Amino acid sequence: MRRLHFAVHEPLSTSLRDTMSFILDHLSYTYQPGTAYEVPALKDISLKIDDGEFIGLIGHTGSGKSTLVQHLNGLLKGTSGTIYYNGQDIYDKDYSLHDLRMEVGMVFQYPENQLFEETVMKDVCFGPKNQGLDEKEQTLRAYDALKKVHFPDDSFDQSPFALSGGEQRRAAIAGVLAMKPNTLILDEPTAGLDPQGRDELFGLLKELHDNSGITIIIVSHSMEDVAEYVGRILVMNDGQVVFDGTPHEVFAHGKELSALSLSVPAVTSFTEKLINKGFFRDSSVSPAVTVEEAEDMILKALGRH
Amino acid sequence: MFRDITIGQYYPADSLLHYMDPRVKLMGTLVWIIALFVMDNIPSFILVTGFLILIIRLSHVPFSFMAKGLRSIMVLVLIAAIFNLFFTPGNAVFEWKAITITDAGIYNAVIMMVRMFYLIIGTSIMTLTTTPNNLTDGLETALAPLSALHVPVHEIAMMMSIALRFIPILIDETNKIMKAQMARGADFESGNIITKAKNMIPLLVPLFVSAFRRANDLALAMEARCYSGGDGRTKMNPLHYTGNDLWGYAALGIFLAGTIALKVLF
Repeated sequence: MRRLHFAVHEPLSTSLRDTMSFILDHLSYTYQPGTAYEVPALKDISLKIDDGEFIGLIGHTGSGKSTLVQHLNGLLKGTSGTIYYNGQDIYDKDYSLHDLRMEVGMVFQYPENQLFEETVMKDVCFGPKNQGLDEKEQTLRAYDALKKVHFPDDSFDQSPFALSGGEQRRAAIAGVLAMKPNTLILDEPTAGLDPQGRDELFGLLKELHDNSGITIIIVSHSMEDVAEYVGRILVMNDGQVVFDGTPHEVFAHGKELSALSLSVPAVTSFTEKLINKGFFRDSSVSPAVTVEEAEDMILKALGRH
Repeated sequence: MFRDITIGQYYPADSLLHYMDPRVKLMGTLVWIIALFVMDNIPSFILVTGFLILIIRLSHVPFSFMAKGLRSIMVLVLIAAIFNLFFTPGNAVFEWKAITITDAGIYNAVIMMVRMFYLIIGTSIMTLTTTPNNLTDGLETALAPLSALHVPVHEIAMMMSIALRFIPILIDETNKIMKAQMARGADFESGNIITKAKNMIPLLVPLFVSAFRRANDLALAMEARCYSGGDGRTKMNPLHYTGNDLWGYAALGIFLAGTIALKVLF
Protein backbone atom coordinates (compact mmCIF):
# COMPACT_ATOMS: atom_id res chain seq x y z
CA MET A 1 0.00 0.00 0.00
CA ARG A 2 1.37 3.35 -0.94
CA ARG A 3 1.01 5.73 1.93
CA LEU A 4 2.08 9.30 2.23
CA HIS A 5 5.08 10.26 4.21
CA PHE A 6 5.38 13.81 3.04
CA ALA A 7 5.71 16.31 5.83
CA VAL A 8 6.96 19.82 6.25
CA HIS A 9 9.25 20.43 9.17
CA GLU A 10 11.29 23.41 8.09
CA PRO A 11 10.48 26.65 6.32
CA LEU A 12 10.28 26.07 2.62
CA SER A 13 12.74 27.58 0.20
CA THR A 14 11.32 30.34 -1.99
CA SER A 15 11.60 28.39 -5.19
CA LEU A 16 9.55 25.61 -3.70
CA ARG A 17 6.91 28.05 -2.48
CA ASP A 18 6.30 29.47 -5.91
CA THR A 19 5.45 26.19 -7.50
CA MET A 20 3.17 24.75 -4.87
CA SER A 21 -0.36 25.83 -4.36
CA PHE A 22 -1.44 23.86 -1.29
CA ILE A 23 0.54 22.21 1.46
CA LEU A 24 -1.31 20.54 4.29
CA ASP A 25 0.93 19.96 7.26
CA HIS A 26 -0.28 17.40 9.80
CA LEU A 27 -3.83 18.67 9.56
CA SER A 28 -6.40 17.22 11.96
CA TYR A 29 -9.98 18.20 12.56
CA THR A 30 -12.49 17.08 15.17
CA TYR A 31 -16.18 17.97 15.14
CA GLN A 32 -17.49 19.34 18.46
CA PRO A 33 -14.43 18.45 20.54
CA GLY A 34 -15.03 17.88 24.23
CA THR A 35 -18.69 16.86 23.95
CA ALA A 36 -20.53 13.57 23.59
CA TYR A 37 -20.89 14.40 19.89
CA GLU A 38 -17.11 14.52 19.34
CA VAL A 39 -16.14 12.97 16.00
CA PRO A 40 -12.61 12.97 14.61
CA ALA A 41 -13.05 13.74 10.92
CA LEU A 42 -9.46 14.27 9.74
CA LYS A 43 -6.47 12.55 11.26
CA ASP A 44 -3.02 14.00 10.72
CA ILE A 45 -3.18 14.65 6.99
CA SER A 46 -0.06 15.81 5.18
CA LEU A 47 -0.38 16.48 1.51
CA LYS A 48 0.69 18.78 -1.26
CA ILE A 49 -1.28 19.88 -4.25
CA ASP A 50 0.53 21.54 -7.12
CA ASP A 51 -0.71 24.30 -9.37
CA GLY A 52 -2.72 23.07 -12.32
CA GLU A 53 -3.41 19.57 -11.05
CA PHE A 54 -6.67 17.78 -11.80
CA ILE A 55 -7.48 15.71 -8.74
CA GLY A 56 -10.20 13.27 -7.83
CA LEU A 57 -10.78 12.94 -4.09
CA ILE A 58 -12.52 9.63 -3.50
CA GLY A 59 -13.97 8.03 -0.42
CA HIS A 60 -17.21 6.60 0.83
CA THR A 61 -19.71 8.58 2.91
CA GLY A 62 -18.17 9.81 6.14
CA SER A 63 -14.56 9.30 5.09
CA GLY A 64 -13.81 12.99 5.61
CA LYS A 65 -13.49 14.12 2.01
CA SER A 66 -15.99 16.97 2.23
CA THR A 67 -14.44 18.07 5.52
CA LEU A 68 -11.00 18.10 3.93
CA VAL A 69 -11.93 20.34 1.01
CA GLN A 70 -13.69 22.80 3.30
CA HIS A 71 -10.31 23.42 4.91
CA LEU A 72 -8.78 24.44 1.61
CA ASN A 73 -10.66 27.73 1.51
CA GLY A 74 -10.71 28.25 5.25
CA LEU A 75 -14.39 27.50 5.86
CA LEU A 76 -13.28 25.04 8.52
CA LYS A 77 -10.21 25.56 10.66
CA GLY A 78 -8.10 22.56 11.58
CA THR A 79 -8.03 21.55 15.25
CA SER A 80 -4.28 21.08 14.84
CA GLY A 81 -1.80 21.35 11.99
CA THR A 82 -1.79 24.03 9.34
CA ILE A 83 -2.25 24.77 5.64
CA TYR A 84 0.02 26.78 3.39
CA TYR A 85 -1.41 28.37 0.28
CA ASN A 86 1.29 29.59 -2.11
CA GLY A 87 3.74 29.47 0.77
CA GLN A 88 1.63 31.45 3.23
CA ASP A 89 0.15 30.02 6.39
CA ILE A 90 -3.61 30.56 6.03
CA TYR A 91 -4.08 30.35 9.81
CA ASP A 92 -1.85 33.39 10.28
CA LYS A 93 -3.61 36.24 12.06
CA ASP A 94 -2.89 38.67 9.21
CA TYR A 95 -3.96 36.27 6.49
CA SER A 96 -7.22 37.29 4.82
CA LEU A 97 -9.51 34.29 4.42
CA HIS A 98 -11.79 36.51 2.34
CA ASP A 99 -9.03 36.89 -0.25
CA LEU A 100 -8.31 33.17 -0.12
CA ARG A 101 -11.95 32.40 -0.87
CA MET A 102 -11.77 34.71 -3.85
CA GLU A 103 -9.01 32.55 -5.30
CA VAL A 104 -10.23 29.14 -4.22
CA GLY A 105 -13.71 28.64 -5.65
CA MET A 106 -15.91 26.07 -4.00
CA VAL A 107 -18.96 24.42 -5.51
CA PHE A 108 -20.87 22.67 -2.74
CA GLN A 109 -23.03 19.59 -3.00
CA TYR A 110 -26.35 20.53 -4.59
CA PRO A 111 -25.11 24.07 -5.31
CA GLU A 112 -28.53 25.02 -6.73
CA ASN A 113 -29.69 25.35 -3.11
CA GLN A 114 -27.68 28.54 -2.76
CA LEU A 115 -29.46 30.49 -5.53
CA PHE A 116 -31.30 33.48 -4.11
CA GLU A 117 -31.48 36.44 -6.52
CA GLU A 118 -34.38 37.54 -8.71
CA THR A 119 -32.60 36.67 -11.93
CA VAL A 120 -29.90 34.22 -12.90
CA MET A 121 -27.69 37.08 -14.08
CA LYS A 122 -27.89 38.87 -10.72
CA ASP A 123 -27.16 35.66 -8.88
CA VAL A 124 -24.04 34.94 -10.89
CA CYS A 125 -22.95 38.55 -10.26
CA PHE A 126 -23.02 37.97 -6.49
CA GLY A 127 -19.48 36.58 -6.32
CA PRO A 128 -17.87 39.24 -8.55
CA LYS A 129 -19.77 41.92 -6.60
CA ASN A 130 -18.21 40.67 -3.37
CA GLN A 131 -14.83 40.88 -5.07
CA GLY A 132 -15.43 44.61 -5.36
CA LEU A 133 -15.59 44.75 -9.15
CA ASP A 134 -17.57 47.50 -10.88
CA GLU A 135 -20.93 46.74 -12.40
CA LYS A 136 -19.69 46.51 -15.96
CA GLU A 137 -16.99 44.02 -15.03
CA GLN A 138 -19.47 42.03 -12.93
CA THR A 139 -21.85 41.64 -15.85
CA LEU A 140 -19.01 40.77 -18.18
CA ARG A 141 -17.74 38.08 -15.84
CA ALA A 142 -21.23 36.69 -15.29
CA TYR A 143 -21.94 36.61 -19.01
CA ASP A 144 -18.64 34.87 -19.63
CA ALA A 145 -19.25 32.27 -16.91
CA LEU A 146 -22.79 31.53 -18.04
CA LYS A 147 -21.52 31.07 -21.59
CA LYS A 148 -18.82 28.71 -20.34
CA VAL A 149 -21.35 26.42 -18.70
CA HIS A 150 -23.50 26.51 -21.87
CA PHE A 151 -26.39 28.17 -20.10
CA PRO A 152 -29.20 29.01 -22.57
CA ASP A 153 -29.06 32.72 -23.55
CA ASP A 154 -32.77 33.38 -23.30
CA SER A 155 -32.87 32.33 -19.62
CA PHE A 156 -30.29 34.86 -18.36
CA ASP A 157 -32.99 37.13 -16.96
CA GLN A 158 -35.28 34.42 -15.63
CA SER A 159 -35.81 33.70 -11.97
CA PRO A 160 -33.41 30.91 -10.94
CA PHE A 161 -36.34 29.18 -9.22
CA ALA A 162 -38.18 28.76 -12.53
CA LEU A 163 -35.37 26.70 -14.09
CA SER A 164 -35.02 22.95 -14.39
CA GLY A 165 -32.70 21.15 -11.97
CA GLY A 166 -29.89 20.81 -14.52
CA GLU A 167 -30.06 24.47 -15.48
CA GLN A 168 -30.06 25.52 -11.83
CA ARG A 169 -26.92 23.47 -11.28
CA ARG A 170 -25.21 25.18 -14.21
CA ALA A 171 -26.24 28.62 -13.02
CA ALA A 172 -24.86 27.84 -9.57
CA ILE A 173 -21.55 26.60 -10.98
CA ALA A 174 -21.36 29.72 -13.15
CA GLY A 175 -21.79 31.72 -9.94
CA VAL A 176 -18.47 30.34 -8.71
CA LEU A 177 -16.71 30.43 -12.09
CA ALA A 178 -17.54 34.12 -12.46
CA MET A 179 -15.09 34.81 -9.66
CA LYS A 180 -12.30 33.45 -11.87
CA PRO A 181 -10.78 31.24 -9.17
CA ASN A 182 -7.27 29.78 -9.46
CA THR A 183 -8.48 26.61 -7.82
CA LEU A 184 -11.90 25.11 -8.27
CA ILE A 185 -13.21 22.58 -5.78
CA LEU A 186 -16.41 20.68 -6.55
CA ASP A 187 -18.11 18.53 -3.93
CA GLU A 188 -20.06 15.72 -5.61
CA PRO A 189 -20.90 17.94 -8.58
CA THR A 190 -22.76 15.24 -10.47
CA ALA A 191 -25.08 14.10 -7.66
CA GLY A 192 -28.61 13.98 -9.05
CA LEU A 193 -27.57 14.61 -12.67
CA ASP A 194 -28.44 12.19 -15.47
CA PRO A 195 -25.59 10.45 -17.35
CA GLN A 196 -25.64 13.03 -20.12
CA GLY A 197 -25.54 15.90 -17.65
CA ARG A 198 -22.63 14.21 -15.90
CA ASP A 199 -20.60 13.80 -19.08
CA GLU A 200 -21.30 17.39 -20.05
CA LEU A 201 -20.17 18.68 -16.69
CA PHE A 202 -16.96 16.67 -16.67
CA GLY A 203 -16.26 17.68 -20.24
CA LEU A 204 -16.68 21.29 -19.19
CA LEU A 205 -14.32 20.88 -16.25
CA LYS A 206 -11.71 19.26 -18.46
CA GLU A 207 -12.03 22.15 -20.89
CA LEU A 208 -11.55 24.62 -18.05
CA HIS A 209 -8.53 22.77 -16.76
CA ASP A 210 -6.88 22.43 -20.15
CA ASN A 211 -7.61 25.97 -21.37
CA SER A 212 -7.24 28.10 -18.24
CA GLY A 213 -4.78 25.86 -16.39
CA ILE A 214 -6.63 26.12 -13.07
CA THR A 215 -6.33 23.51 -10.37
CA ILE A 216 -9.44 21.37 -10.11
CA ILE A 217 -10.37 19.08 -7.25
CA ILE A 218 -13.43 16.88 -7.64
CA VAL A 219 -14.86 15.15 -4.59
CA SER A 220 -16.72 11.98 -5.44
CA HIS A 221 -17.56 8.56 -4.09
CA SER A 222 -17.28 6.98 -7.49
CA MET A 223 -14.00 6.00 -9.15
CA GLU A 224 -15.86 5.34 -12.36
CA ASP A 225 -16.87 8.99 -12.62
CA VAL A 226 -13.50 10.60 -12.27
CA ALA A 227 -11.09 7.98 -13.64
CA GLU A 228 -11.33 9.20 -17.18
CA TYR A 229 -10.59 12.84 -16.44
CA VAL A 230 -8.29 13.30 -13.48
CA GLY A 231 -4.51 13.02 -13.38
CA ARG A 232 -4.27 12.14 -9.73
CA ILE A 233 -6.49 10.28 -7.32
CA LEU A 234 -6.55 10.65 -3.55
CA VAL A 235 -8.44 7.95 -1.70
CA MET A 236 -9.69 8.76 1.78
CA ASN A 237 -10.84 6.40 4.46
CA ASP A 238 -11.68 7.14 8.08
CA GLY A 239 -10.16 10.62 8.01
CA GLN A 240 -6.89 9.59 6.41
CA VAL A 241 -5.49 9.62 2.89
CA VAL A 242 -4.77 5.96 2.15
CA PHE A 243 -3.85 6.08 -1.54
CA ASP A 244 -2.33 8.85 -3.59
CA GLY A 245 -1.26 8.45 -7.19
CA THR A 246 -2.29 8.36 -10.84
CA PRO A 247 -5.46 6.41 -11.67
CA HIS A 248 -3.27 3.54 -12.93
CA GLU A 249 -1.29 3.39 -9.70
CA VAL A 250 -4.33 3.57 -7.47
CA PHE A 251 -6.44 1.10 -9.42
CA ALA A 252 -3.69 -1.47 -9.19
CA HIS A 253 -4.91 -1.94 -5.61
CA GLY A 254 -8.33 -3.29 -6.54
CA LYS A 255 -8.57 -5.64 -3.59
CA GLU A 256 -7.62 -3.09 -0.94
CA LEU A 257 -10.04 -0.62 -2.50
CA SER A 258 -12.95 -3.02 -2.38
CA ALA A 259 -12.09 -3.64 1.27
CA LEU A 260 -12.82 0.09 1.72
CA SER A 261 -16.13 -0.52 -0.11
CA LEU A 262 -14.88 1.40 -3.13
CA SER A 263 -14.84 -0.29 -6.47
CA VAL A 264 -12.49 0.29 -9.38
CA PRO A 265 -14.17 1.16 -12.71
CA ALA A 266 -15.86 -1.79 -14.42
CA VAL A 267 -13.46 -1.52 -17.36
CA THR A 268 -10.48 -1.82 -15.00
CA SER A 269 -11.69 -5.00 -13.34
CA PHE A 270 -12.65 -6.38 -16.75
CA THR A 271 -9.18 -5.90 -18.26
CA GLU A 272 -7.63 -7.18 -15.04
CA LYS A 273 -9.60 -10.40 -15.42
CA LEU A 274 -8.45 -10.68 -19.05
CA ILE A 275 -4.84 -10.25 -17.92
CA ASN A 276 -5.23 -12.92 -15.24
CA LYS A 277 -6.72 -15.33 -17.78
CA GLY A 278 -3.68 -14.79 -20.00
CA PHE A 279 -5.51 -13.01 -22.81
CA PHE A 280 -2.60 -10.67 -23.47
CA ARG A 281 0.63 -12.22 -24.66
CA ASP A 282 2.47 -9.09 -23.57
CA SER A 283 2.84 -9.70 -19.83
CA SER A 284 3.77 -6.10 -19.01
CA VAL A 285 0.29 -4.67 -19.61
CA SER A 286 -1.59 -3.14 -16.71
CA PRO A 287 -5.37 -2.89 -16.33
CA ALA A 288 -7.01 -0.11 -18.35
CA VAL A 289 -8.56 2.93 -16.73
CA THR A 290 -10.72 4.22 -19.57
CA VAL A 291 -12.80 2.49 -22.20
CA GLU A 292 -10.56 3.87 -24.99
CA GLU A 293 -7.50 2.38 -23.34
CA ALA A 294 -9.18 -1.01 -23.03
CA GLU A 295 -10.24 -0.85 -26.67
CA ASP A 296 -6.64 -0.15 -27.75
CA MET A 297 -5.29 -2.97 -25.60
CA ILE A 298 -7.74 -5.54 -26.88
CA LEU A 299 -7.44 -4.54 -30.53
CA LYS A 300 -3.67 -4.70 -30.23
CA ALA A 301 -3.86 -8.17 -28.68
CA LEU A 302 -6.14 -9.28 -31.49
CA GLY A 303 -3.63 -7.94 -34.00
CA ARG A 304 -6.01 -5.43 -35.57
CA HIS A 305 -4.18 -2.26 -34.74
CA MET B 1 -22.27 29.84 15.50
CA PHE B 2 -25.09 27.52 16.58
CA ARG B 3 -22.88 25.24 18.61
CA ASP B 4 -23.33 27.25 21.80
CA ILE B 5 -27.09 26.89 21.93
CA THR B 6 -27.69 24.02 24.32
CA ILE B 7 -31.25 24.95 25.31
CA GLY B 8 -33.56 22.28 23.97
CA GLN B 9 -30.70 20.00 22.94
CA TYR B 10 -30.53 16.30 23.81
CA TYR B 11 -27.39 14.90 25.41
CA PRO B 12 -27.06 11.14 25.00
CA ALA B 13 -25.93 9.40 28.18
CA ASP B 14 -26.71 6.34 30.23
CA SER B 15 -28.44 7.51 33.38
CA LEU B 16 -31.46 7.03 35.61
CA LEU B 17 -32.98 10.27 34.30
CA HIS B 18 -32.50 9.28 30.67
CA TYR B 19 -34.56 6.14 31.19
CA MET B 20 -37.26 7.82 33.23
CA ASP B 21 -40.75 8.19 31.76
CA PRO B 22 -41.09 11.61 30.08
CA ARG B 23 -44.34 12.25 31.97
CA VAL B 24 -42.45 12.11 35.26
CA LYS B 25 -39.92 14.58 33.91
CA LEU B 26 -42.65 16.92 32.67
CA MET B 27 -44.32 16.77 36.07
CA GLY B 28 -40.90 17.27 37.65
CA THR B 29 -40.37 20.44 35.63
CA LEU B 30 -43.73 21.76 36.77
CA VAL B 31 -42.92 20.93 40.41
CA TRP B 32 -39.50 22.55 39.97
CA ILE B 33 -41.04 25.82 38.73
CA ILE B 34 -43.55 25.87 41.60
CA ALA B 35 -40.77 25.16 44.12
CA LEU B 36 -38.68 28.02 42.73
CA PHE B 37 -41.50 30.45 43.34
CA VAL B 38 -42.27 29.04 46.78
CA MET B 39 -38.62 29.30 47.83
CA ASP B 40 -38.01 32.60 49.61
CA ASN B 41 -35.73 31.94 52.60
CA ILE B 42 -32.37 30.33 53.32
CA PRO B 43 -33.61 26.86 54.46
CA SER B 44 -35.81 26.40 51.39
CA PHE B 45 -32.98 27.68 49.19
CA ILE B 46 -30.68 25.02 50.64
CA LEU B 47 -33.26 22.29 49.98
CA VAL B 48 -33.85 23.45 46.40
CA THR B 49 -30.11 23.71 45.71
CA GLY B 50 -29.52 20.27 47.19
CA PHE B 51 -32.25 18.83 44.99
CA LEU B 52 -30.75 20.51 41.90
CA ILE B 53 -27.26 19.15 42.65
CA LEU B 54 -28.75 15.67 43.13
CA ILE B 55 -30.57 15.88 39.78
CA ILE B 56 -27.47 17.14 37.96
CA ARG B 57 -25.45 14.25 39.38
CA LEU B 58 -28.17 11.76 38.42
CA SER B 59 -28.36 13.06 34.84
CA HIS B 60 -24.72 12.20 33.97
CA VAL B 61 -24.63 15.32 31.78
CA PRO B 62 -21.45 17.34 32.38
CA PHE B 63 -22.26 20.59 34.16
CA SER B 64 -20.00 22.51 31.75
CA PHE B 65 -22.38 21.53 28.95
CA MET B 66 -25.36 23.04 30.80
CA ALA B 67 -23.37 26.12 31.75
CA LYS B 68 -22.84 26.85 28.06
CA GLY B 69 -26.59 27.36 27.77
CA LEU B 70 -26.49 29.82 30.67
CA ARG B 71 -24.00 32.05 28.93
CA SER B 72 -26.56 33.12 26.31
CA ILE B 73 -29.04 34.40 28.93
CA MET B 74 -26.42 35.93 31.23
CA VAL B 75 -26.98 39.44 29.84
CA LEU B 76 -30.73 39.24 30.25
CA VAL B 77 -30.44 38.09 33.85
CA LEU B 78 -27.89 40.80 34.69
CA ILE B 79 -30.06 43.57 33.28
CA ALA B 80 -33.07 42.31 35.25
CA ALA B 81 -30.94 42.06 38.39
CA ILE B 82 -29.63 45.64 38.01
CA PHE B 83 -33.15 47.01 37.62
CA ASN B 84 -34.23 45.17 40.74
CA LEU B 85 -31.17 46.36 42.62
CA PHE B 86 -31.62 50.08 41.94
CA PHE B 87 -35.36 50.56 41.65
CA THR B 88 -36.87 48.64 44.57
CA PRO B 89 -38.19 50.83 47.39
CA GLY B 90 -37.24 49.91 50.98
CA ASN B 91 -34.69 50.77 53.66
CA ALA B 92 -31.67 52.39 52.05
CA VAL B 93 -28.38 50.66 52.86
CA PHE B 94 -26.24 52.59 50.38
CA GLU B 95 -26.70 56.09 48.99
CA TRP B 96 -24.55 58.04 46.55
CA LYS B 97 -25.92 60.99 44.59
CA ALA B 98 -29.00 59.71 42.71
CA ILE B 99 -28.24 56.06 43.34
CA THR B 100 -29.95 54.29 46.20
CA ILE B 101 -29.64 50.62 47.02
CA THR B 102 -32.17 49.17 49.45
CA ASP B 103 -32.17 45.94 51.43
CA ALA B 104 -35.29 44.81 49.57
CA GLY B 105 -33.51 45.60 46.28
CA ILE B 106 -30.54 43.38 47.13
CA TYR B 107 -32.86 40.62 48.26
CA ASN B 108 -34.97 40.88 45.08
CA ALA B 109 -31.97 40.98 42.75
CA VAL B 110 -30.33 37.96 44.35
CA ILE B 111 -33.43 35.80 44.50
CA MET B 112 -34.39 36.76 40.96
CA MET B 113 -30.98 35.77 39.61
CA VAL B 114 -31.04 32.47 41.48
CA ARG B 115 -34.56 31.75 40.23
CA MET B 116 -33.69 32.50 36.61
CA PHE B 117 -30.53 30.39 36.61
CA TYR B 118 -32.19 27.50 38.43
CA LEU B 119 -35.14 27.70 36.07
CA ILE B 120 -32.93 27.45 32.98
CA ILE B 121 -30.79 24.67 34.42
CA GLY B 122 -33.80 22.70 35.66
CA THR B 123 -35.73 22.88 32.42
CA SER B 124 -32.67 22.19 30.29
CA ILE B 125 -32.01 19.03 32.32
CA MET B 126 -35.40 17.81 31.11
CA THR B 127 -34.57 18.42 27.44
CA LEU B 128 -30.98 17.22 27.84
CA THR B 129 -32.14 13.84 29.16
CA THR B 130 -35.22 13.35 26.97
CA THR B 131 -35.24 12.84 23.21
CA PRO B 132 -37.63 15.22 21.41
CA ASN B 133 -39.78 12.28 20.32
CA ASN B 134 -40.06 11.00 23.83
CA LEU B 135 -40.90 14.47 25.06
CA THR B 136 -43.80 14.99 22.66
CA ASP B 137 -45.02 11.45 23.38
CA GLY B 138 -45.07 12.30 27.05
CA LEU B 139 -46.85 15.57 26.40
CA GLU B 140 -49.45 13.87 24.23
CA THR B 141 -50.26 11.21 26.81
CA ALA B 142 -50.19 13.65 29.71
CA LEU B 143 -52.57 16.05 27.94
CA ALA B 144 -54.81 13.33 26.47
CA PRO B 145 -57.70 14.10 28.87
CA LEU B 146 -57.95 17.57 27.27
CA SER B 147 -59.16 16.05 24.00
CA ALA B 148 -62.53 15.60 25.71
CA LEU B 149 -62.68 19.41 25.62
CA HIS B 150 -61.97 19.33 21.86
CA VAL B 151 -58.37 20.42 22.28
CA PRO B 152 -56.50 18.89 19.30
CA VAL B 153 -53.88 17.26 21.53
CA HIS B 154 -52.58 14.82 18.97
CA GLU B 155 -52.22 17.48 16.28
CA ILE B 156 -50.40 19.80 18.66
CA ALA B 157 -48.03 17.00 19.66
CA MET B 158 -47.46 16.08 16.01
CA MET B 159 -46.69 19.68 15.09
CA MET B 160 -44.33 19.93 18.02
CA SER B 161 -42.44 16.79 17.10
CA ILE B 162 -42.16 17.89 13.46
CA ALA B 163 -40.93 21.31 14.53
CA LEU B 164 -38.38 19.79 16.91
CA ARG B 165 -37.32 17.26 14.31
CA PHE B 166 -36.62 20.03 11.82
CA ILE B 167 -34.52 22.23 14.08
CA PRO B 168 -31.27 20.30 13.55
CA ILE B 169 -32.03 19.87 9.84
CA LEU B 170 -32.56 23.58 9.37
CA ILE B 171 -29.49 24.45 11.42
CA ASP B 172 -27.52 22.11 9.20
CA GLU B 173 -29.02 23.67 6.11
CA THR B 174 -28.25 27.17 7.42
CA ASN B 175 -24.63 26.21 7.99
CA LYS B 176 -24.37 24.74 4.51
CA ILE B 177 -25.89 27.75 2.75
CA MET B 178 -23.79 30.11 4.85
CA LYS B 179 -20.65 28.30 3.84
CA ALA B 180 -21.69 28.26 0.20
CA GLN B 181 -22.30 32.01 0.24
CA MET B 182 -19.12 32.68 2.22
CA ALA B 183 -17.27 30.75 -0.47
CA ARG B 184 -18.69 33.34 -2.88
CA GLY B 185 -17.35 36.12 -0.70
CA ALA B 186 -20.47 36.86 1.38
CA ASP B 187 -19.81 38.55 4.70
CA PHE B 188 -22.17 37.82 7.59
CA GLU B 189 -20.17 39.40 10.38
CA SER B 190 -19.09 42.97 9.70
CA GLY B 191 -21.05 46.15 9.06
CA ASN B 192 -23.80 47.93 10.97
CA ILE B 193 -27.23 46.49 11.66
CA ILE B 194 -28.70 47.53 8.31
CA THR B 195 -25.89 46.12 6.16
CA LYS B 196 -25.89 43.04 8.34
CA ALA B 197 -29.62 42.55 7.73
CA LYS B 198 -29.13 43.11 4.01
CA ASN B 199 -26.29 40.60 3.95
CA MET B 200 -28.63 38.00 5.41
CA ILE B 201 -30.75 37.92 2.25
CA PRO B 202 -28.48 35.43 0.43
CA LEU B 203 -28.88 33.18 3.46
CA LEU B 204 -32.58 33.62 4.20
CA VAL B 205 -34.02 33.26 0.69
CA PRO B 206 -32.50 29.82 0.02
CA LEU B 207 -33.33 28.77 3.59
CA PHE B 208 -37.02 29.61 3.17
CA VAL B 209 -37.12 27.95 -0.23
CA SER B 210 -35.68 24.77 1.21
CA ALA B 211 -37.94 24.86 4.29
CA PHE B 212 -41.03 25.10 2.11
CA ARG B 213 -39.76 22.35 -0.16
CA ARG B 214 -39.14 20.11 2.82
CA ALA B 215 -42.57 20.82 4.28
CA ASN B 216 -44.12 19.94 0.94
CA ASP B 217 -42.17 16.69 0.69
CA LEU B 218 -43.06 15.75 4.23
CA ALA B 219 -46.78 16.37 3.64
CA LEU B 220 -46.64 14.16 0.56
CA ALA B 221 -44.76 11.43 2.37
CA MET B 222 -47.26 11.50 5.24
CA GLU B 223 -50.19 11.29 2.88
CA ALA B 224 -48.56 8.47 0.95
CA ARG B 225 -48.45 6.57 4.25
CA CYS B 226 -52.17 7.25 4.78
CA TYR B 227 -51.69 9.57 7.76
CA SER B 228 -55.08 10.89 8.79
CA GLY B 229 -54.65 12.31 12.27
CA GLY B 230 -54.74 10.85 15.74
CA ASP B 231 -57.93 8.76 15.75
CA GLY B 232 -57.26 5.05 16.00
CA ARG B 233 -53.51 5.59 15.80
CA THR B 234 -51.40 3.28 17.96
CA LYS B 235 -47.79 3.63 19.07
CA MET B 236 -44.86 1.35 18.42
CA ASN B 237 -43.43 1.99 21.88
CA PRO B 238 -46.29 3.05 24.16
CA LEU B 239 -45.23 4.66 27.43
CA HIS B 240 -45.32 2.45 30.52
CA TYR B 241 -44.53 3.42 34.09
CA THR B 242 -41.89 1.35 35.86
CA GLY B 243 -40.92 1.15 39.53
CA ASN B 244 -38.37 3.91 39.10
CA ASP B 245 -41.00 6.29 37.74
CA LEU B 246 -43.20 5.79 40.80
CA TRP B 247 -40.19 6.50 43.03
CA GLY B 248 -39.62 9.60 40.91
CA TYR B 249 -43.16 10.83 41.58
CA ALA B 250 -42.72 10.08 45.27
CA ALA B 251 -39.44 12.03 45.38
CA LEU B 252 -41.09 14.99 43.62
CA GLY B 253 -43.97 14.95 46.11
CA ILE B 254 -41.61 14.89 49.10
CA PHE B 255 -39.49 17.67 47.57
CA LEU B 256 -42.47 19.95 46.96
CA ALA B 257 -43.94 19.27 50.40
CA GLY B 258 -40.54 19.92 51.97
CA THR B 259 -40.11 23.25 50.18
CA ILE B 260 -43.57 24.43 51.22
CA ALA B 261 -43.01 23.27 54.80
CA LEU B 262 -39.70 25.17 55.02
CA LYS B 263 -41.35 28.32 53.69
CA VAL B 264 -44.21 28.10 56.19
CA LEU B 265 -42.07 27.09 59.20
CA PHE B 266 -39.28 29.69 58.90
